[in-house]
Amino acid sequence: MNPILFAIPVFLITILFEALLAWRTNRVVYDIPDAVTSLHHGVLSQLTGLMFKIVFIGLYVTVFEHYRSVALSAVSLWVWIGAMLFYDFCYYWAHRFEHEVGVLWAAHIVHHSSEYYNLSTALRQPSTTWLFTWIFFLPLAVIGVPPEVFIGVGLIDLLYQYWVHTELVGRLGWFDRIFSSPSNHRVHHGKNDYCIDKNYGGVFIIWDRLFGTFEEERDDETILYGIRNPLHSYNPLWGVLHYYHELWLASRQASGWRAKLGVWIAPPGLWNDAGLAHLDTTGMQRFVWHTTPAVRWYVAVQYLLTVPLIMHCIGVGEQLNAMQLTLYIALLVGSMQVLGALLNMQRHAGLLELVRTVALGLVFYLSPDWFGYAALAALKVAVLCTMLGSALWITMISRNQTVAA
Amino acid sequence: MNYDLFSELLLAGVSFGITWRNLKHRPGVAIGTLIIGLAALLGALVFAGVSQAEGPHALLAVLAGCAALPLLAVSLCWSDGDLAKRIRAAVSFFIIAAAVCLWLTEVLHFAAWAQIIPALSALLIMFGALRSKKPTAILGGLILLVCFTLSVLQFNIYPLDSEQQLHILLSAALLLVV
Repeated sequence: MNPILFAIPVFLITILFEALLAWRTNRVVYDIPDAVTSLHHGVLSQLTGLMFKIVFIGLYVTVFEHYRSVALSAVSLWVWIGAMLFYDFCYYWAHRFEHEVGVLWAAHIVHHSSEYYNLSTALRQPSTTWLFTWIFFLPLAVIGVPPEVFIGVGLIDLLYQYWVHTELVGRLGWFDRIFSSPSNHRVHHGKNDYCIDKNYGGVFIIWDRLFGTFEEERDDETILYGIRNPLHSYNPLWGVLHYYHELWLASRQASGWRAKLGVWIAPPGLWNDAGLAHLDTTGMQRFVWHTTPAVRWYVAVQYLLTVPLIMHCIGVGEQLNAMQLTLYIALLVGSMQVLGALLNMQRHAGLLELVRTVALGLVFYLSPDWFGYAALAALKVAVLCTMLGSALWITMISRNQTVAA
Repeated sequence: MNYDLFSELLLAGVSFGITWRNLKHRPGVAIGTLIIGLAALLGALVFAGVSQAEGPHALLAVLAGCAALPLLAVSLCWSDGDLAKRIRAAVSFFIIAAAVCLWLTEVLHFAAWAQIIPALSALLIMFGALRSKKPTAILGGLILLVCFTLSVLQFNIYPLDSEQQLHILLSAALLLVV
């Protein structure tokens, strides 16, 4: 059973709690389209993980079985503590290279593309890190950390980082000096000059102090979150692929094959001995698209309605055959794409959403089972009614928008 | 005399020497030879009786051929390029090349990759040597090509076995080429 499955309800409840707390204290911490996009990226990352994590874990197991130095005990507390420390050390370097090498940044940029900093940003996880980042963790296999310990400490490291994505927790004194904390990590997500390429640590911030990448949060400068070339889109697949596209264009423009290949290895912005370009943050505003409140709330509700399907897919993913899994993932990705198109206020998005809701309701109602799950008749009727109700809702929203236009 | 241990120590010594000499001005060359040297050092430990070094040696030997040698070749051939002059570029290249190598050899089981890449790297080093017109570099490039050809043909010069021969010829080639 995928442990993330148990974490999803906790994530959603804490996100709602943080949003409520921010609202009560009059702080602009959340934006519905941005938060839904973050959650879409979290889901995309889990879905691609269903297909590719097995390759990464398989590689780890292969290296552990064929190239390890010794076999450490999986039941020793010291092995777990040592593995945790070493994993975090490897994570520091993986994370640092993700920021400093073009092709790795193309995968990781997703996590930084939000201009808000809240718990939903923590879930804005990349979907293509399986391409290269795994190699940074192979030293654990070589020294003999058993795969189950590796998976365990990896999960601890990942889950720990959830809570540091918040603006609602201030400085924590001595804690900030040893561990990665909300204050340290806010700097990491900033695009101000002093924030770039700082505070990479996952659980411990000591690595940054050791390797010269630590920067303390400044009281006299408000941090602006996000990337310097803003994404300006709620389309989840474009969010995953946009920087690969940028690299591709830069590579095509470069002259000579060495320069073309060099683009992918160079740091974002290419090799620049003059240093980082200054970003004038005065008067800078967050991206706000003209998504109407009705569409925002509609999409938020639709996302929540999709959560049971997402959890089901993650839960049964390993038992489905390749065809079924691909179909289930395509269905969920298609749903997220349509919701993203709605948030982007794209033409025909309303029509696509109408088709999606009706088709989803009918297929769930008419199919004998839903990817192995035989639903009760009452549930089938409830889903059909909800989807038809959604279809009616989106029709009304679309009609109102047409009238307003 | 333990020829295995000697040949590994020789390669490690030569590689680390080149690393030391080039660390400041040619980091691409330094990183390439550092990996080759580390692989050889682990090999020496294996032949000295440290069985724990066997697995890491085998892995690093594959990566030395598929990622470090190409880095060395590119750095030598285009000595004014970013890979040759920037340590970050060199390390990034090594990591990406190592990841591609493991993807192809361990996931897709394309074992020939571990032979094609070192051979292509040797050819590139030879090309760079010919372009530089330095007799020592050309001789080094030739030795490298001979070394890989003998290794592929599994032809041994008595009393050395193929591994020992590879290490000794590679040491000579590195000394002359860099």
